[in-house]
Amino acid sequence: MENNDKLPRRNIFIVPDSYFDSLESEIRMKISKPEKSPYTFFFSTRFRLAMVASVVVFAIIFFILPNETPTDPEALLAGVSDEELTRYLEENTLPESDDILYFTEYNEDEILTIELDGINDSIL
Amino acid sequence: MADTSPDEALILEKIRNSETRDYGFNLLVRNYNKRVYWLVRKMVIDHDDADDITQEVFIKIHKHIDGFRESSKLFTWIYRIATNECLSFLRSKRRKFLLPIHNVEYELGKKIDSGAGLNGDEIEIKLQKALLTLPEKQRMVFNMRYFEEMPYEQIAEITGTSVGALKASHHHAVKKIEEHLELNNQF
Repeated sequence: MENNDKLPRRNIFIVPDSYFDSLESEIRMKISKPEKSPYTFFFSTRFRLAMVASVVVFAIIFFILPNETPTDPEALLAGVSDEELTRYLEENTLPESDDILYFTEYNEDEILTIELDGINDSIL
Repeated sequence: MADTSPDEALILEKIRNSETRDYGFNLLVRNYNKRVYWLVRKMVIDHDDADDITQEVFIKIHKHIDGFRESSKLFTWIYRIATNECLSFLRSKRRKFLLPIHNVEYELGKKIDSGAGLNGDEIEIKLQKALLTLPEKQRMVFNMRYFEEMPYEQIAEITGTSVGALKASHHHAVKKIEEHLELNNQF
């Protein structure tokens, strides 16, 4: 087909009137617009507001919320009465060890007596 | 360093001088906009798509012109950017619509059938539709060689292919088109 005259070589595509004049000015306009710097966002009001909001959320999570809900187990248990604790341990399906039975069968004075007896025995 | 035509040398000189940079770039656009547009238009068929791609090509040229080291002709460099833009446009179109290759060509064929932006007789229209049966790169090479009568050496520089491979590719393209047209009783 290099020398094939059977096929037409004419360009059959058409463009709107004075398209190439407008194309030139369109390109000129686009390249004359200042390119948006990739750092622009970091200095934008939206970015600064987002940063402030992040700091506030961070402060709430790590400094304010822990005071309202203490995670220290001793501090948590301090507010619970002995009766409630005992009831909880009895009602829940914890393995019933001899230690638990032993402490529930004696009052404080008896326990103290047993401890003192033990000390006396060891001294003796 | 490749030889540059007087026009190219002048354009580059103006662009490299900060005081005449804008003028130089305007010269570049004026010199090459039609050739780039027609190269693109024959590939993407649709005027609006060709318009967008052509503008994008010149924006890229403007952005990267300082990196142009004249290892090829300015025209070759511009054409290489344009061919790459065309091929990526067609690739993205295919990805966007998840279409297999023949469907993109079918879509382009429908645009030819609609006759919008075309002023050709029946055989010219049939030829354009026959071209759509070629793979994109082969179609691009065919357009450069057949319609623009560009030397193989220049096409080789633009496409980064050897002259021998281009000649073989063009030969196959011609055979395919002739067969397609014969099947459709155009010869």
